Amino acid sequence: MFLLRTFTFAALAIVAVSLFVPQSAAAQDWPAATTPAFEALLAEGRAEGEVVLFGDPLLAEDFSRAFERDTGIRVVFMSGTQNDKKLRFLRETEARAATFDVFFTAYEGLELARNGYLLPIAPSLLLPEVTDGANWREGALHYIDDTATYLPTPVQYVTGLFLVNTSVIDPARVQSWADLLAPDLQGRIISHDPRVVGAGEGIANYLAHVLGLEFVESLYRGQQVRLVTEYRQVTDSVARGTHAVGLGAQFRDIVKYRREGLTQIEVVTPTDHSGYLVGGGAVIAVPSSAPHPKAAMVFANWYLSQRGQKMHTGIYTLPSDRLDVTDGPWPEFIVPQAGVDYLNQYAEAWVRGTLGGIASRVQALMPR
Amino acid sequence: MSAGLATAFRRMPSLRRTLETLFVAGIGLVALAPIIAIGVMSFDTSTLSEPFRAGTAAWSALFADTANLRALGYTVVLAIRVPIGLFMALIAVWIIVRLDAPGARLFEYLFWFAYFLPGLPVLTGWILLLDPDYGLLNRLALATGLFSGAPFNIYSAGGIVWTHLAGQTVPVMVILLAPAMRMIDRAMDEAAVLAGAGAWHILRRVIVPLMVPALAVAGIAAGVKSFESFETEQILGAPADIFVYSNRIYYLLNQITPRLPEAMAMSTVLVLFLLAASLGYQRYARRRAVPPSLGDGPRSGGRPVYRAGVRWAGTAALAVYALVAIVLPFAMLIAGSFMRLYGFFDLPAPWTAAHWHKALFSVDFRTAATSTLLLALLCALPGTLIFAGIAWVLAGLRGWRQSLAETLVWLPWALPGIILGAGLVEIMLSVPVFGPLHGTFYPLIYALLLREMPLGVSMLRASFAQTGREMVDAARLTGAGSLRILARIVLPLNMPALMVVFLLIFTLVLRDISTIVLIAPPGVQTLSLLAFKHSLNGDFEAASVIGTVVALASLAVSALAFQMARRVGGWR
Amino acid sequence: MSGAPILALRGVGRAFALGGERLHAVDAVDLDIPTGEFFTLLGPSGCGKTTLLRMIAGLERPDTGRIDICGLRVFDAGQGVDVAAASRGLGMVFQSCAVWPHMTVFENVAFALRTRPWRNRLRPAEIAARALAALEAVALGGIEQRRVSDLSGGQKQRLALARALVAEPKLILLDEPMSSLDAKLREHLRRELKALQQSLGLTFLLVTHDQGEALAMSHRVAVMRQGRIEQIGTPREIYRAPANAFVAEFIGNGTVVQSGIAAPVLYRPEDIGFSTTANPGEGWLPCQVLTADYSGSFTDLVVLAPGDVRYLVRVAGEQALPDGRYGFIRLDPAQAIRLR
Ligand SMILES: Nc1ncnc2c1ncn2[C@@H]1O[C@H](COP(=O)(O)OP(=O)(O)OP(=O)(O)O)[C@@H](O)[C@H]1O
Ligand SMILES: [Mg+2]
Repeated sequence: MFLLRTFTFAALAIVAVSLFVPQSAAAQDWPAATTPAFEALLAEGRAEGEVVLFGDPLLAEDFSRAFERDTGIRVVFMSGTQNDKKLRFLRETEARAATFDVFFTAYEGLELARNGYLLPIAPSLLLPEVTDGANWREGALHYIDDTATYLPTPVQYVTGLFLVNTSVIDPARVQSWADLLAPDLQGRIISHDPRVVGAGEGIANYLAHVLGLEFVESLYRGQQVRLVTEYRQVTDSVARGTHAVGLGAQFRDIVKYRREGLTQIEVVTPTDHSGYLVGGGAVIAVPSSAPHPKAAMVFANWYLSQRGQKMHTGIYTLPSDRLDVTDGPWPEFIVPQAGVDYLNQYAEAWVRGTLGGIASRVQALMPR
Repeated sequence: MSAGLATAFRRMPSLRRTLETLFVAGIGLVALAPIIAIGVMSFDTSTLSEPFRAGTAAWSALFADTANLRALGYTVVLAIRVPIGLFMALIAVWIIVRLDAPGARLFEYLFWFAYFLPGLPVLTGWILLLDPDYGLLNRLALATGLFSGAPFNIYSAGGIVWTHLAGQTVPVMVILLAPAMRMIDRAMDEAAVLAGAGAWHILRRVIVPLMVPALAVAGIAAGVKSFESFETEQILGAPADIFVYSNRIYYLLNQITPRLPEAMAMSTVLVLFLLAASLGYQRYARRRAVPPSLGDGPRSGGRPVYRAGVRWAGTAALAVYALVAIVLPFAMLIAGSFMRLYGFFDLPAPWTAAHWHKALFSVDFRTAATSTLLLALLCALPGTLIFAGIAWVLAGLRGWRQSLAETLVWLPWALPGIILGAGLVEIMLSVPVFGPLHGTFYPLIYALLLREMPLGVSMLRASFAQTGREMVDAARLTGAGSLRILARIVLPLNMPALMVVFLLIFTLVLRDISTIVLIAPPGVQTLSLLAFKHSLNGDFEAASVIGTVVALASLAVSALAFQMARRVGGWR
Repeated sequence: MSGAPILALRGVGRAFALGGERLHAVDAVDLDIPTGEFFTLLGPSGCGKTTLLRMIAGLERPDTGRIDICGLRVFDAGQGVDVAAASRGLGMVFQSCAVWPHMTVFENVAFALRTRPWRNRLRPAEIAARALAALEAVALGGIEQRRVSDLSGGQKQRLALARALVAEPKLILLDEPMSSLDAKLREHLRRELKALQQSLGLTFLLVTHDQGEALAMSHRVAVMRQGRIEQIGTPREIYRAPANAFVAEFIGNGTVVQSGIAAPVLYRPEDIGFSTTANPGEGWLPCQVLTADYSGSFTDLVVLAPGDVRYLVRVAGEQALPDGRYGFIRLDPAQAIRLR
């Protein structure tokens, strides 16, 4: 009994330490324009007092503080690595016993959304700057779900590009996916491993979709692509010239290496199939059992407003679909170009329609 | 337990036996709950939003997929590091504890330090040293002109075994074996030396036989844990197409809709493995006579027993090992944390202190450090005492109750943190009584303790068994109750083992990510999550800094703990 | 040394499984020890003395028999009675000392006083006084603040004794408490023990290998062999009237003479006369002196007598080897101890 009491006490102490934030009155410069409906929502959200965000630890500091400042609603942050986070999200949401209000996700929530385990977000988006389609690329905020209700995805960026070392290979020689099959590139390509979940897998599935399984086989097996599971090794190996071409490199690594003077690495956008769009974990989902549903909706409005998107994309160095969020720290090569027809992997059509059929066949092709 | 109550127990053996049976049942409940949950989940074939539907789909998928079987094969092959590590650790502990080699204590701390070092940054250090294309050691070897090709390739089974041995297997085994070897009376060596036996002969014929129980515990513990290891295999194995069991588990969990039942089935197989190993060991232990009570326990050192030549040879061997396996990768880690780009020595200005600044002088770091430290202490202090209590009761049990309880205690060991966490979440969410506990600290502490319980309890149990029997008897005769004997006699006499258990729990909490993410209440930020944040950001160097700081802090804690242990335990 | 027995054993036995067979470490022992007695268990190594003591103390569970302490049944295999060791109210000095190395000398002794239940707990001053008194009794005064790990073997044994004495139990079991003391200290402690025993009216059950110790200190002695008690008696009875050859030879020295079909007889060395005077008279037998071991107050001779029998003979004072090594011995039939 004594131990129990000690635990409780110390537990409270920890929560207190980790949660302590100076409470300040809400700032006056947000939102830019409001509606009575939003003001009502904001009041209800404030009455709930706090919102529990569940996402990458990157959002735990400045991003959360900014929200607190703007709305007067306290943020409690939960974070974790990919797998753990996802398991907890799925299980708690499914059991309708969520301990969090907003989950930052990719497209894991799709099944849950279809079965009524998520709160619809679209109806609670009340700020004019969020609902006005003119503020968004392609005229509207994108959602993963076809109903455009549950899983808003305000970020889309281009991936599936080549990383080449210009001092060991002339970039003009690798302009299309077909160029990668050149005999002299055998053994000179490195890729993030498609056999584990991640960017490498995304590329292999993409290639199977646009170029067919034979292409996938002749590339990975025929060209003896070196497969590594640590992202940084792709950039590292290309920068050293050990490999001429890299697939599945993380753009943040590329930016960092170039910044440190390793300018021989360059990104090439293939001319035949110019990559695909992903949402970079910027999708949000609110479980039906969220403890602070109103505060969660206030957060959704804030997050999708110019202020929230500026904060978010600044931290992630990702471009936002909001047209009024420009000139961020992201590299040009990941910004979707107008007029190019990208495959959108952050969409129900891909996730439910194509992916399941392709993925297992791609896996079967890979060396084991 | 007062004397009167004790009398009552003796007078009413049935009451005592009932209480013992209750204890065994309690241990069973604590240890088996998540395992049962996991077993049940492995038979779930329902899709999302459906209620539980029983079926064996996951199990047939498990055995139908050759990838699973091949993974199992590789797992067994790579487990070769267990006997190798056991041998190396035995020698190292022997040099440290028995030979009294000059600098022994320093080396012991080095092993602890190696154990504390963060896995991923150290692994990157090894890659930088042993990469077949640009590894520093390979370049060095080629420069000598003795080799036509790079002699080392870290992307191989050998590379995996080596990094494991250096980073975890040998250090953890040294930690587990040292207390047991300390309990062996010095007179054993002295007598053998006087009988004219050489050091090596004494090790083989006197020390090793006495160490069999400890060796078995360390072997089983590390053997089963080696099934769980994941990251090293993932990074070093993939280029060589080596995948192990745990890689499969992670792969299954990593799917868009995690294939939880299959992962659970796979984990259940691990539990069965462990069950077999544990029963096998108990049979063996029963056939073999009980280990003798080893004298009055640790004795303060007088003159070293062995000749100076032998002792210095021991020091030399340890020094070489420590240099290659501990200092070298650590130096890489430190160097890396001061580099603009880890591993790029050719940049115009490769060095910077920016990562240190970024990692240490942030609000995040301070809050994460405080809450991690609090959580670690919160688990480690009561955890050590709870484990000691369990071990103490266990030591008093007889017959089937004892064998059953000892087996039960071991079982959670087979579960990887993420699986255990998932099982616990399942219990919280599907058993209504526990519903209110979901999202509080209790399940988290329970889970963290449960993960270390097998090793902690077994270590203490082995250590208690070596406590002089008559010392405990003497205390019993004074009329002291069981608790008082535990607190005043048994615990102080077993300080070395207690310290080790404390530190094992402490470091587990410092390192854990999965369990905390799965079941911690909202708002818990730990250092390991902070390190993860930096690596998310592509800031691998800052992540190394945090890893290094955690390792140094752990070392300081362990030095402090040992100092206290020495004072309390009358042990040097 | 009167009244009801403080300790009574009936048919107490304990067997250990050794591989396939059973080793009867203690085999159906009966024993009665009256209050205030100094009782000694004597026997060769491995005969079951420690096991018997541990069963009395309640540290080992007998397979058979019953045990009464102070008239109370503390163990009965048949009835399932088994009173916990702590409640049997006795003290014990262990063969391995088993002093607690992590405590000081003082703490070791005070431990027992501090474990008392709340109702009759002692004040710190009283604890200190009693612990120090116990330490004084075993000549350990003045080093009560030392750490036990720094004590010598003999000091540890004395500390173990003090620890058993301090709670003033009525019955004290001592398992070879003086085995690593020097002769002088042993002598001192023997007398000290005896005095303590008498002044406090304690009952001692002592285990020893040392027959001299047993005979000198005890009111009664039991000789054990292979788990059985061969004989119980006063030192005089045991010495002068041993029940059998084993007891005779284990207690003191002597020469067993087998003559024809009659029972063998034993001569104690001090009962055999020795003379170097030529033909001293009737009944003297010529003999050859083989060795002479000088021991200060006496000398032990081994002599070879007619019939090829070697006798052990003890002579007071110093006895040099006679010329030509010839002498005479005399065997007094009245002194002969008839063995069964
Ligand atoms: N726990 C045990 N398990 C098996 N055998 C035992 C055990 N304890 C004692 N024995 C055996 O029982 C016999 C009697 O042992 P005990 O210790 O009582 O002898 P002892 O008379 O005290 O000898 P010593 O004078 O050498 O101390 C010995 O043969 C011993 O090996
Ligand atoms: Mg004995």
